[in-house]
Amino acid sequence: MIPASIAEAAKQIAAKQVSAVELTKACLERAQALNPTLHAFIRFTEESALAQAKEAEARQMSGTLRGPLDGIPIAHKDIYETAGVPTTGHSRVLIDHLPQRDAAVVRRWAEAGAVSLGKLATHEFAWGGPSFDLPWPPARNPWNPEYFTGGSSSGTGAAVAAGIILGGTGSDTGGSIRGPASLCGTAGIKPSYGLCSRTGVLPLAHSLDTTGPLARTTEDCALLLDAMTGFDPSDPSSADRPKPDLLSGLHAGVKGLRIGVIRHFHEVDVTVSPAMAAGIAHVAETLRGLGAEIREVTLPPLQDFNAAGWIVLAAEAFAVHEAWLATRYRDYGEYLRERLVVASLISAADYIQAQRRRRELCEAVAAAMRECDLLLTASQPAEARQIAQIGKWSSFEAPNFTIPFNLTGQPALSVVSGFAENGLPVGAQLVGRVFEDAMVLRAGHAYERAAAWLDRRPAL
Amino acid sequence: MTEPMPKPLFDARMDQLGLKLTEVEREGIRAASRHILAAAERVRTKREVSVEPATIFAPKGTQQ
Repeated sequence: MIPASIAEAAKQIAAKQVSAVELTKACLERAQALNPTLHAFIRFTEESALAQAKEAEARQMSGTLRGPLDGIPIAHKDIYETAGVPTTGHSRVLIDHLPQRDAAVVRRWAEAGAVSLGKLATHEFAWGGPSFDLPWPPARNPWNPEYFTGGSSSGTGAAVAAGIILGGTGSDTGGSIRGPASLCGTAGIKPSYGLCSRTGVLPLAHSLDTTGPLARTTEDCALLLDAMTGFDPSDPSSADRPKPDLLSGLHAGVKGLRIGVIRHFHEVDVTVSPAMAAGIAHVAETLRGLGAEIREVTLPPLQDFNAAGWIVLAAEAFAVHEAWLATRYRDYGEYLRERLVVASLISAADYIQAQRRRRELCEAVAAAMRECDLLLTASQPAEARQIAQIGKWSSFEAPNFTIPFNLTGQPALSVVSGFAENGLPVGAQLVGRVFEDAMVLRAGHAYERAAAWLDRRPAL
Repeated sequence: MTEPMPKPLFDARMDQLGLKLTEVEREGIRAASRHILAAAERVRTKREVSVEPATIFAPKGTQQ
């Protein structure tokens, strides 16, 4: 009953083969059946979802659909403010926070006709998880509920992978879209910094925060992202530039594109799992087979990007939470409050030196990208670990593959690139030049069509 | 491996924050401080004093 993708559902809705109301009901039923296991949702908005679906169905029947998102069931990470619906950041600190208006991106998806089923689990304020001392439990991986979803867009990754929703919002400050996409076996894009509004989204680190979508396929991410973009004068980071065309070239393939594999990231700087290494090789060989030119690219060590990235992220996060930390310390979960205390130890000079290093790293990547159109690397070091193995300091303990492109502001997409022996998915990361999000989506879509990974679904 | 922040300095910072932490919490957080100190050391690369400014202020309306 629930179509496998937004693209497919949109066709069925347009052809009146599926009712927008029946689709919403089917997704709500699946959500409520699976949520006791997956904990992907922290709040359902069933009544308003059915009302939105009825409006979409009226447009469906009168031939006045607004576009491919009209009548599509989605949900929002609980750091996106929603008018009249609590937005907590999955935290006791904001347990009573009832926004008066929607976040800009929430409003844009609603205007496109998307049907919101509710609010999705996140790591506390997009950094503190997976934690078991919060008002709601952490989301679980649909491929095996004993395993970690990645974070912080944990509920979105779980709900999309489980086929509960066809897409959802995430946010990405150091990898919070691409991590869950990789570990849950979905697509997810961190768009260029400034492409999508952050107005009405609870911040983590202002110079890194990016809003973006997760969905089962890259094509669906393109459809969702297309409805998110556009200049927003109320967001100082929003880029005042024309809305990009993300869709017309999506099927153009990769013939002639130059793709640089950052081999030292996953072979020298960090050792990745065999499945992750095989996944990167599979993406490279598949794209080569489709006509791309594969070459090797050398950047500064991954550890340099992580050092600058974590100093910037942690210092900015502490600045956001400083006042609450002083007055409501025990209202935070243990993981986030203690990470924020560590963040408080960063000096002003540390932060400025990290920003100086950031500028050098941006220039190094920009120089490499004069010789290639896209970069290819891992999304994560490995497939998911058991949730009980994720410790309080895990994000500091090993370099990650995603934060480099938060530092540089580049668009970066995670696509499913294979499966480990234990049946868990892995994802590879395709990275483009700033504001060349369309090319990233085009390459990801070409790879997905050539690979057969998306035929696999979690056995739920 | 980088050492954690020295205890007197760490305790002073905690007093400045005004947080009431147990000794176990203090020691756990202090031990983790080595990650941030290592990162702070790593971002300090050799460069001329005037290169790579990190903080450039461009008033609205003056950006290209």
